[in-house]
Amino acid sequence: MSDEREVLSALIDREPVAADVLARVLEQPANRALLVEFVRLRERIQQDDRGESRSLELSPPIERARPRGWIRAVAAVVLLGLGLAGGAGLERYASRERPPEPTRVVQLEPSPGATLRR
Amino acid sequence: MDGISGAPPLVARLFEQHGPAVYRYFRRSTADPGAAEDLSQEVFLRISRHAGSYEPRERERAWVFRIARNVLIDHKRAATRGATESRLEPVAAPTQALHADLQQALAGLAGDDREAFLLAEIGGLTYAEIAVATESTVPAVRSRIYRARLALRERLLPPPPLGRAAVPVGGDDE
Repeated sequence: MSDEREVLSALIDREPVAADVLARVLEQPANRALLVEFVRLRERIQQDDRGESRSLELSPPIERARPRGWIRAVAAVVLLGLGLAGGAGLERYASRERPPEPTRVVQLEPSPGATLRR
Repeated sequence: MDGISGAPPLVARLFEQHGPAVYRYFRRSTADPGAAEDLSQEVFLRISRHAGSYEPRERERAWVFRIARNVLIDHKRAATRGATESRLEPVAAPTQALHADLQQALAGLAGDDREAFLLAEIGGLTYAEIAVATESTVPAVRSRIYRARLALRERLLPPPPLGRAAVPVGGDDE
């Protein structure tokens, strides 16, 4: 069972209320006081909201544009090219760092009469 | 507040018209200004993604706040999954005792009551719109908002000089 005083709350929300019920409820002084307090409560909240909205700097939403298909394809090709170029450059750089490949191998063997001098 | 550069006119207009209210709704619901700003942005990003398919079958404001409610639900779920559930905490704002009191009073409400109350009070939704958004009924919404008002009045308003008549809080939801 609902409380008939709900009409007071509904009234200040501009909701439809039954006039007969409202009249009956408002006959009671305590209910009239309750209606006034509901209005005060609204004032109180609005006062708080006003104070806050003075300091509110709400930023508009920002969404990063999603790259379109062809842009993504071009970006992929560019990245692939950069990767290949980078790889080739690295290869050249690496080859300068390596010792030259041997073209022939010379093996030295001790002669039969050789002695080890200390 | 600037519009959304490059955004469809609908989104820009909705942001201009409802952005501050959406922010306040999140601010009251989460007690976290940073989260409220992020969630507000998320609402309008979602709107911009679905603006093309939007058909005005309902009031724009109700549509925006239905999205806002979904964003809030997702946020709470994510927070729960991360074991850092966003609870309504009293905000430490020494220069804004008034604000902290209100936030604390809102935190003391039952979740359903707070949600219905904020959608009506901040969002400006009708009871029928709230009933649709929350998958409830108009009488239930009406009861929830009434209960929320009674509780907030107890916590926020000083008692009148001759005392305050006790108002039973209860009744069926549905």
